[in-house]
Amino acid sequence: MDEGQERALWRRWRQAQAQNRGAEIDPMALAAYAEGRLLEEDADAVEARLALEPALIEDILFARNATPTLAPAALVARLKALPPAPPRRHWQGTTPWWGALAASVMVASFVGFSLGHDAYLSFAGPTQPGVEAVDQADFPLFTLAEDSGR
Amino acid sequence: MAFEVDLKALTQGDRAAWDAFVRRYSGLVMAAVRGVARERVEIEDLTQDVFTRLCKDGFRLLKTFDPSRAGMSTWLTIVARSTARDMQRRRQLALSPLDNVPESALATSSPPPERLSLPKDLLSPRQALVLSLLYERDMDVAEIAAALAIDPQTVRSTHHKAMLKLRAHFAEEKGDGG
Repeated sequence: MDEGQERALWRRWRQAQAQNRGAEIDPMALAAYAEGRLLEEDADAVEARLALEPALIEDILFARNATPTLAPAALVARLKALPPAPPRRHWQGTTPWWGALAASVMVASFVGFSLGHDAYLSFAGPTQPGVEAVDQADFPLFTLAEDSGR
Repeated sequence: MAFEVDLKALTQGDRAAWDAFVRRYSGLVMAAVRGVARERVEIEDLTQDVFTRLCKDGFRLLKTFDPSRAGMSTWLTIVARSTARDMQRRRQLALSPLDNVPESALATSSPPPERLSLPKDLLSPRQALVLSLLYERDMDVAEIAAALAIDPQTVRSTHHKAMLKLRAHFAEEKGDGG
């Protein structure tokens, strides 16, 4: 049988297989095949698909011998700008980071002062006559100097 | 030194990770699409199309990458070439006058193939692939052996066995019909 007859036989087989094209091949499977990392039955599935779309074999050959080139700076800048900004969560306001830090310090100071004042009251004993009990909520953090001589 | 990109951070929207990914792989993608296009402007546009596809829909395509199955360079090259061919095909169809577009490109379904009764597994996948590369890609035995990482003698043997099967099957068909 000469090559012409063999090609004719192949063409007949190929025509009948055209209807069995099946789903698009998974790039991950092709990549694994290119690296020789597929098990035999998975490799068979890829080869069956390649037989129907033999141009894909060039992708495999190219991937095995890929040599990166240098992308122009302008193109790289365009590519970097591609993804849209991630959506802001509703709790993310416009408060800068140091605002959160300052608030944390204030809260920690107030809690620390409250605990310290409670400890002082417990050591100081029962309240003396004439001495008013101080409500924490009324005690200001910063006070004007009183007349200490009274 | 290996240059690692934090893919998890990237797919969660980390800009620094995306920038690192672009710096790392833009040259590879450009080289990949260069095999599909020729003009510099077209190559750059196709490169951008590839990266657009990668970050589309919350990095949906990029999230399908599995490092346990293959390397990023290999996967990305295959994705890049496939995307470039698709985009190029669409652009060519959009630019061509309708009369110049072949009917097959406009058809919503392929014309019915010749009605042949072929057993599903008449040829093994490897046999079918060897014949396909020989007769559709016009590759020679050495090229096929290199592509499939097998011995040239194995290619010849696979070809021979496949031909025997096809010959026997179509000879039977002819005998039944006659």
